[in-house]
Order: sequence, then C-alpha cells, then structure tokens
Amino acid sequence: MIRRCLLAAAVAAFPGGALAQTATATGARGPDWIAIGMFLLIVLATLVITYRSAGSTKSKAGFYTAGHAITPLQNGLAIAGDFLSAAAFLGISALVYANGFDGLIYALGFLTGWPIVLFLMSERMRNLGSYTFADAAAFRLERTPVRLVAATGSLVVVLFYLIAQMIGAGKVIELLFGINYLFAVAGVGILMILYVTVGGMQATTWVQIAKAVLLLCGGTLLALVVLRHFDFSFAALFAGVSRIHPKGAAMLTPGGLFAEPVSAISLGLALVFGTAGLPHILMRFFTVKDAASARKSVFYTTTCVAYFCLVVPILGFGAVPILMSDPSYFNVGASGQFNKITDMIGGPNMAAIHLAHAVGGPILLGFISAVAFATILAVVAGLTLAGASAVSHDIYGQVIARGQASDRREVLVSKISAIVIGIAAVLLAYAFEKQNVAFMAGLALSVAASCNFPVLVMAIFWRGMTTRGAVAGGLAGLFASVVLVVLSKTVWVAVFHFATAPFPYENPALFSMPSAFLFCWLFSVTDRSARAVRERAAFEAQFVQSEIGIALGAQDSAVSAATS
Amino acid sequence: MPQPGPERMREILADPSFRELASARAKLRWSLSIVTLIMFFGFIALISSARDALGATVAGSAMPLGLVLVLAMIAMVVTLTGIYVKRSNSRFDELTHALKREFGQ
Repeated sequence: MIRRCLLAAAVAAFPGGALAQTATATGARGPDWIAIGMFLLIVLATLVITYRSAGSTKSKAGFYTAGHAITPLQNGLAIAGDFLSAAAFLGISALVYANGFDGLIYALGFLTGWPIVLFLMSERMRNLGSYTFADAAAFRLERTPVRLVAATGSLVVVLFYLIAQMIGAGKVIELLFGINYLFAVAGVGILMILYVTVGGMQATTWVQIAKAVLLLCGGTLLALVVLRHFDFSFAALFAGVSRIHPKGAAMLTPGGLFAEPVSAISLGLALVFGTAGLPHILMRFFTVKDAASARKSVFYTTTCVAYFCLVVPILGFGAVPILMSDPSYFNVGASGQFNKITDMIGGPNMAAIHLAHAVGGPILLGFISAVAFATILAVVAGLTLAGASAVSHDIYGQVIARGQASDRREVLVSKISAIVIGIAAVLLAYAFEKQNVAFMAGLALSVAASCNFPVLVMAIFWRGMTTRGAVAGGLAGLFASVVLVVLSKTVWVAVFHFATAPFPYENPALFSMPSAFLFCWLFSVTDRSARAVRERAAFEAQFVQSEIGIALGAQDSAVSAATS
Repeated sequence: MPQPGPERMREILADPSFRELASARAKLRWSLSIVTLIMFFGFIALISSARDALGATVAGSAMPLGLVLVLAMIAMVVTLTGIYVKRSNSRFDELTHALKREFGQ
C-alpha cells in the first residue's frame, strides 16, 4: 500500500517522535507496484517518442521548432502541457483545499493571461520571429544589446522556474515512490536532458501533448469519482465543505489571500502578464506553420486551461469532506490531534494525490501519481529547451557568431547548453532542497511580466521604441523584480531571517512592470541618435510583416533568411 | 530575395484592404484586451470591497454568488478568445490571403 510507503517516506524526511510511532503502528511495506508500473510505462513511452524524433534535430528549424510542422490542435495541447505544471495541478487543488474560494481566484488569474497572449502576442510573434521571442524583440533594433537583454530575461525566468519545479518534483517523487530526493531530482534531470538533446522540439512537443491529455483525462476521472461520492450534488459537496473545514462557511467566500488590494492587484498583474512573457510558451508559436495556426493554437490552449480551472477546484473542495475526517492521511500527534491542513502527510500539496487514494484506491492513486510525474517531466523539458535556445540562438548564434553560425554548430551549442542547464538545475535543486523556495516561481513570473513582456510589447506595437529604450526598460524591470523580491517577506524574512521586510508586498509586479514601461518610453523618446532614427523608420516594414507575414527585407538578415 | 524596395511597402501601406485589416484588427485586439483586463481586475476590486455580498447564495440554489461569478468569468474568457479567433478565421484571414496573393513573398 502506497499510503504506508508514503508514511515511511514522510518519517524518513521529517524524523520526530510522534511520526515514528505512527510508522511502527502501520508498518513500512514495499513500494506500490501499480504506481511504479504506470510510472515506468510513461518513462518508456516518452523515450520511444524521443527515439523516433531523433532524426528531426539535424537542422536548426527541426531542432528549435519541429520544422514549423505542428498542427494548431497539437500545439494548443502542447502549450497547455507546457503551462499546466505540477505546481498548477497539485498547488491549485491544495490552495482550494486550504483556502477555498481564494484558490479559485488564483486559478482565474492563471487563465486570464491567455486572452492577452492571443490578442497581443501569438500572431505577431509568429510573423516576426523564427526561433525565440528575441527574434521579434530585436526585429528592427540592434542585435547585440537587445538579444542580450532578452536572453538574460529568458534565462532568469527559465532557471528560477526550473529550480522551483525540480524541487517540487523531487519532493513529490520522493513521497510517491519512496525514491531518495537526490536520485529523484537527478532522474528527472537525465530524462529532460535526453528529451531535449536527442529529440529536440519534436520530442518535447509530443511529451507535452501526451502529458496534457493525461492530465485532463486524469483530472476529469478524479473529479467524476469525487462528484459521484456526493451523488453529483454541488449542494451536498458545499454543505460537506462548510461542515468539516475549520474555516466553515467562509470557505465559499473570498478570504485573506486577496483581501489587501495592492497585493491582490500585484499578484494579478504577474499572473496575467507573466504568462505573456514566458519564453517557453512564446517559443511554441514558432512550431506551427503560420500566424493563423498560432492563433488557433491559443484558442485550444485557452479551452484546455479553462476546463482545468473548472475541474481542479472540484478536487480541492472534494478533498475537504473526504480527507479531513480520515486521520490516516495525516501525521497524527501523540494526543491524537492533528491540523487538518498543515499536518497532511507529505504537506498540503498532496491533497489531490491522497484524494485519488481515498476515492479510487491504489489503482487511481497509481494513475494520478503517474499523471503528476508526467506533468513534471513535460514542463521541465519545455523550460530546458527554451533556456538552451536562448543561449544557442540568441547569445551564440546571433551575438557571438553574428548570424554566421552553421545550423549544425548552433544545434550542437544548443544541445551542450541543454546539458549544462540540466546539470545546473539538478545541482541547484539539490543545494536548495531544505531552503524556502516559495519566492522562486513568483520571481520567475514577475521577471516574465516586468522584463520580457514590456520589451516585447513595446518593440512590436510602439513605433517610437529604440534599442536604448529596450535595454533600459528590460534591465529596469529585471532589476526592480529581483531587488523587490529580495526585500520582500519571502526572501528577507523567510530566507535571511530578518524580523520585518522593507517591501511589504509579496509580488513586485505592480511596481516593477510600470517601471519597465516607463524606462522603455523615457529612454526611447530622449534617444536622438542616428540609430534611433533608423529604428523608428524601420517600424513600417515591421508593421507590415507583423500584420500579414510578408517580409520586406528590412530586418535582421538571419531572421529573414529563416522565414523565407 | 529580390530587392523589395520601399515602394512595395508604401503600396501595401496604402492598400485599402491592408488598411481595413490593420485598423479592424487593432480595434478588435485592444477592445477585447481592455474588456478582459477590466473584467479580471474589476473582480479583484470587488473582492476587496464587497466580500460579504459575494458570499451570499444565489436565490434557490446552494451556489454562493462569488462562485457563480467565477464560473461566468471562466466562460467569458473562452468566449472572448472565441470571438477573436472566429473574426480572424473568416474576415481577417481572407484579407491576409488576398494581400499575400497581390504582393506575394
């Protein structure tokens, strides 16, 4: 029984008198073979996908974009696979489990970024670029500085997101399969390096598609079983929630998480605009053949994410009446008391996993655990590929080799970068295991919203944007995000152990994002150089190409060669 | 690629189809973006100002008003993206194809 195995793992991770007692009471048994079987099946399937994609990675277009040959539906699912991380699946269900309604608002913020991506980004991205979002940002601006800023923004987002995901992955796998944390993290690292270096975008895309389908089906199945438990009556479900949760009826009303308007708006901005600045998401628009396909992909993605936002809260709410009255899912104290949220075995993030066991026994538990594992793999693979492309295409191909590198060389650099990023992520995830890393995902999203998004949107839509403005704005957003996160409670108090934080809000986006736009504007309008005049004049050619995809030859030579 | 020259660009920019495409799409793009943002941030403002009202149940059901609003907003997000994609798939793609045929790569 995996529940006992979980207990044993929890005891190993958090040694303590009370826990040891529970362990002797239940007794540790061997690992759960259903879960491990499904887990191995997923690994095997992804390796077959990777092996079959190996031929596609010879050319640059094949490696970065699967030869622009992915269909809109496939790409839509793959983007959903990229976006719906284990943090979203386990995290949002846990947030609803612990805070009720507030978890829903978080999910809504997650979803609201998608129309913005569709309206502002998808088509123009595809028309202006070929491999990375920096192609579009640097379209009419000077190559070296703009690509360096964009690549820095990409790498910061990728690394922090990757470390946060890897630590979560290590913990989840450690708990689910009883594997040692370091082996779990290293295993995930090796798999993601294999997908990216051997199979490139083609393999990464299919891993993401498989994961998205598994996640949506697994979530639906679990939600249906939960609803059947309540005879498909939401009234019964909510009555159970209000009766059993310590917060009572307050579970169904907005609570503390979004009570303070400045914090709420700041988090909302990071969620909504961060999505539109995530390099691994923006990169996916280049895998389809044209702007119309890019736009259709986002519609499929939005539908998947919206569906996910309907299903996941059912899991969170359902877990309240089903789990809270059953002490076997909690670390029960010596006195028989337990906190219904924080004492959950493996932490509150495991609510959806325990729920699967409670309503579906070991088979559903094995399936949902395997889904969570697939979810982790797809997201880290997408991030690694985006990071590797920022190094090989933006920094090596465009800045160092000035667009003269051969396809073979650039792909080779990309594969080496993927290996380096993978190893770095494993080492950092190992080093930060015991640290409080709550700030990392927030920082990644905030940098995406405050550095990548403003530079990109201003370069695409505003005629007056110059290289000087792009560099100043991008660096201002990046710098403000990092400094404000360090000065906020999540780092200043939780990591450095100071008494109070100088920056009183959790998320910096409300301040860092406007400062990026302000710097973009200020340093562009005051730019009187000849280069600025040229760049403003080049806007019209960019405008025509961004609207209808006809290249007028005024842009970056490397990009035009790739689009024709 | 042959020297495309600024004349071709000026021709495209002056083309009535191009102007219609660019302005209609810009209007749709910005108005839908603004609707989306007002909806989401309006909801956040509502949460901090009218918490109790959102907890009241909708007459005749067990659903709290806040929950109904969240469901409505999820539906709205899908509808807004649907509107954009539908308009683009028909009118905008038609204009784009015509322009591409005329001015070509």
